[in-house]
Amino acid sequence: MTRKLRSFSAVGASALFLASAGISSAQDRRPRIEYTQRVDTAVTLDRQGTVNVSLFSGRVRVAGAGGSQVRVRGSVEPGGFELRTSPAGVRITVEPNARRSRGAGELELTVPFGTHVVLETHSASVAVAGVKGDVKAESLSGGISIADAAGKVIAESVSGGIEISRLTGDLRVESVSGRLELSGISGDIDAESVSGRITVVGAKSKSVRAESVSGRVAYSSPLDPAGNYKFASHSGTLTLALPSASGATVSLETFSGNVDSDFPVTLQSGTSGRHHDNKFEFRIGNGRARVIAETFSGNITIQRGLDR
Amino acid sequence: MTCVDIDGILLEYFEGDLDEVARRRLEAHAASCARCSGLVRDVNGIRTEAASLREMVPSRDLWQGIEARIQPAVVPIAAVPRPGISRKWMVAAAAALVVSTASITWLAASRSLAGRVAEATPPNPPQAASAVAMDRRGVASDALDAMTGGVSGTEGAEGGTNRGSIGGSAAARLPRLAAASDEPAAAAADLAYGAEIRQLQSVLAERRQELDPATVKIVEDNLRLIDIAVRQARAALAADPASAFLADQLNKALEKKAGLLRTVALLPAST
Repeated sequence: MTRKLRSFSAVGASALFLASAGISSAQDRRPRIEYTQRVDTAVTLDRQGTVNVSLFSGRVRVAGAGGSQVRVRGSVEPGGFELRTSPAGVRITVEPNARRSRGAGELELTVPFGTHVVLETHSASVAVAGVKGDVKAESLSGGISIADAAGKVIAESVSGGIEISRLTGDLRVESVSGRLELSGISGDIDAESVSGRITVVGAKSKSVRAESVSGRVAYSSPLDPAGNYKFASHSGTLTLALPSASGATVSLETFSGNVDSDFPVTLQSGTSGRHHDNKFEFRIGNGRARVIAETFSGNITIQRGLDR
Repeated sequence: MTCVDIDGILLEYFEGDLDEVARRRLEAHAASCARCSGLVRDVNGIRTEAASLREMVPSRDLWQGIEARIQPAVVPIAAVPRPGISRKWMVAAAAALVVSTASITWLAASRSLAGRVAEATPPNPPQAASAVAMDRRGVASDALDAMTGGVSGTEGAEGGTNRGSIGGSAAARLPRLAAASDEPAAAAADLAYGAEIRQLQSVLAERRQELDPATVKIVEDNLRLIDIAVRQARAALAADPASAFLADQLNKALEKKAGLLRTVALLPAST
């Protein structure tokens, strides 16, 4: 059954302010946001139901827990909060509206393990931990942090940084200028940025694609023997730290960047005639995994070992 | 009446389509059967609850936002007839026509001349043919100059390639025109992305006022980075037109630019 709930109990005068005592002078010049509306409610959700949160500014934290209830607590600007529930889904909206709400709030949710979490924010930061289900998070300038998810994770931002850790499932992550820091991913990785740095550490992935225009790309993880790995940056540096014991065929190509490898590199036949771009290919061990690294002007560095 | 019989007519019962006799028999069975009475009770409960549901109203009307975003892509009338772009396209089309026409003319002329030269047994036929070729290309350059008004090229939208100043002797002009005819990869990339990028750029220009200035700055800073990548890839490709790697670099940069502009076009207002 679907029902629409509005206007949770207002606490009134005991306003909570976003700005704390230590806030910078630059932030002090911003209009203060009064979170005078307190939210505290719990809703029963079907297994693998969906929780959808749309918050303009502030922050939202989501944590996984046992049981079948979604609990929502926090403070929001009055007039902008809306909650809709059904057994299959919970939708929370805190957005600017005609009632002068600027869509600000600070929300903490606990959701049943396996819940599909969808978060959309403008500048609000997003933190999701231990939900063990699919997660989709989009933010314009807020940071996104997702840990201990299981399933498909999609995270996109324009300028906010994105951190994904301990994921069991496939990952698609994209930013314009925000950093992408990916650690402990067990699943396929697809990462893209324009100027944001991309770092992949401790992945167990059969398929990795990490591409940037000017951002650095750093990969430090084992290679799956049947895996395909592609790294590219136009002007950013590519640094690949590969285990000595792994087996891979590594192709490197750059127009004007330098190539530096701890592994012995041999010039591929038939490619030396071109006076500009440099293409190299070499094998490590049994050569089974496929690694491609390309830059236009960025340097490519291949390191032996993961601990450097 | 058995439970199986009940299952067969239950739908008609709830629809009110059973005759009086069948309805009584069903209800008599349900009154003495825990399974069927539970089934009837559950379905009746669902019907009652469903009837009490409020009409669902979307939290916001999405259509206006969607409409606002897709309308610019349909090319608003005000944005169409900008004389600069229109003229540029006309010049590009005319230049392409002149170059292709000149090439065909040159091919026909050189073959014809080669035949005549062979008949006349000159001392250095290849040089003569080459001289004619240069002359013909020089003619093409002059024609292009005339069409563009001696354009000192600038990179506008991605559809145009910076050819620099065109001037000097016919021989000096030769490499530039040769490069023009040797850049199918760049032309293909422009063909694939040029129109979309121009359209999306006009959307960005129109949406500037409704987007957060900080967002606009981030987007424009990153577009500049991509533009640098586009220019570098384009210049490298001009020097090495056969490079698939460079063609791929150019394609990637243009795709990235189109992708970023698409993202901007879809951002909600007042962000």
